[in-house]
Amino acid sequence: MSKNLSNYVRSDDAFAIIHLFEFDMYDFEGNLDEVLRFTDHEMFVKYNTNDYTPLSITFDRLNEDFSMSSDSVSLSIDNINGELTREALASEWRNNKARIIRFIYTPNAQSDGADYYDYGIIHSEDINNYPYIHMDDFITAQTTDAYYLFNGVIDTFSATEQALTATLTTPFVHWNKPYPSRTYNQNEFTSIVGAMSDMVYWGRQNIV
Amino acid sequence: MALTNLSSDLLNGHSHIQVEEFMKQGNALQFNSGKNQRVVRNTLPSIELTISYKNIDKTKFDNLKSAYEINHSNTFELSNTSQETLSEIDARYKYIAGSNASTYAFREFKFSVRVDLKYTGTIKLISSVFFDYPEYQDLFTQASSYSPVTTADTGFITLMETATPYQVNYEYLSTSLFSNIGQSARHIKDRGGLRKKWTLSWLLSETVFLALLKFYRMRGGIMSDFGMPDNGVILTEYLKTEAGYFITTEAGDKLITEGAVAITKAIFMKDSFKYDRNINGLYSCRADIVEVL
Repeated sequence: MSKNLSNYVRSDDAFAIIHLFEFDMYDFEGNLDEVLRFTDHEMFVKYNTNDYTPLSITFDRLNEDFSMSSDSVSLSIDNINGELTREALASEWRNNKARIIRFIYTPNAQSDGADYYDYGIIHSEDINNYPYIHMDDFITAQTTDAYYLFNGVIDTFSATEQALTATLTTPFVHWNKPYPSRTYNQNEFTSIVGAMSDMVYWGRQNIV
Repeated sequence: MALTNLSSDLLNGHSHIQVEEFMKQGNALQFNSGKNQRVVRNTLPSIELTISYKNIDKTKFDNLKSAYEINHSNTFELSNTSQETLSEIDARYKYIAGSNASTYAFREFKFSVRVDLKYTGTIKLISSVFFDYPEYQDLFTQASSYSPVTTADTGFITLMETATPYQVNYEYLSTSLFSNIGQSARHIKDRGGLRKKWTLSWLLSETVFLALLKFYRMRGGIMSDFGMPDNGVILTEYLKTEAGYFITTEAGDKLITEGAVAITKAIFMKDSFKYDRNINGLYSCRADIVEVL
């Protein structure tokens, strides 16, 4: 997958953009338990024969620059009903693969009787099945661009009743920080944020 | 788990539907060419329906009330195929099989009743993208619970025999959490604690008003709870003249008895009792009363 946009979608002035999210979940014995797949679209997205579950999921601005100093992104996922918290607490999520895929596509035209909608009304693949968009079909039709927007690992997560927030980082994080990466325990630092911002006193207690 | 279809419960007898439609959301994305591209993020328009009812009778109101109480924290179907009024507005059923796509969730339930015992109010619904297919429904569980607490305290009801409200507003306070995608509702978490809230309005003579005020001062705030008729209707007989409504001296046994079937435990909402003294010596006042769980 490249980050190049094809002319198929660039030449059009109306297109859709959706994201797919993948998180690897391992059991505590270190075996791959399952891959959680979500989309920020409102119906299921089928891609590479996998179903991506529609869920309210957003991520903040993603910055990349020369120094590769900061490649991290914060995600917020709806945690209503606590399903995600249950999943996260029952699995090993740390340091496992997290991926964001961006799809840019031109929605198919659709007719409703005599009316013709250039970019469709409701994009559902099969009226007799549950509603979903089949991205593989879009790709065949050469109207889709897809690329990995972000590849990394799950770094931290925190959850409330309403939302689960996770930070994803790439291997480039800490690239130009003056200390090697190490693990901290909670006796040393009151929060992960404290651990990230403390650069001078690592390895010993911070005595002022 | 098939969703309940509330079409006949909600659409029969309605007088008006106000529709607000939220179109596809879009924003611009700039590429290296410098050309701005319009990006459409969602494909389904969301619609919010405000269904109005005017002067419906108590039987019909009770039917709506029970539909709300049973389904306040889950999505349900509002099938359009049998109701021509909506078939062109919510067209989802044309593109996604049948009524499975016509899913909605309750947002609001508000009614008021006056002396003629006719109910007028609105129910607000938002379209849902939690379609009625196992692939969607099996992912998250939804259920609506409501268990009102009753009491044997009839002090307030006895007082109402003289201090009779001329209007009762009826609504619910919900603590449910909604998951949204765009403007549409997705699944809902019922956190329990659905409560009724009544707003009573009075126009009273000084003697009767002072009895009510005394009751409020003794039982207001966190001091004490009391019994409130479940449907909030405790209107007595009124006499209608050309000049308006007047309270008769007849005891209003009819409606008090009707309301007393289920007495809900309730309290005054904090500082909600407001009153004016009119130049003619009458007092107009209102208070919010909320169910205690």
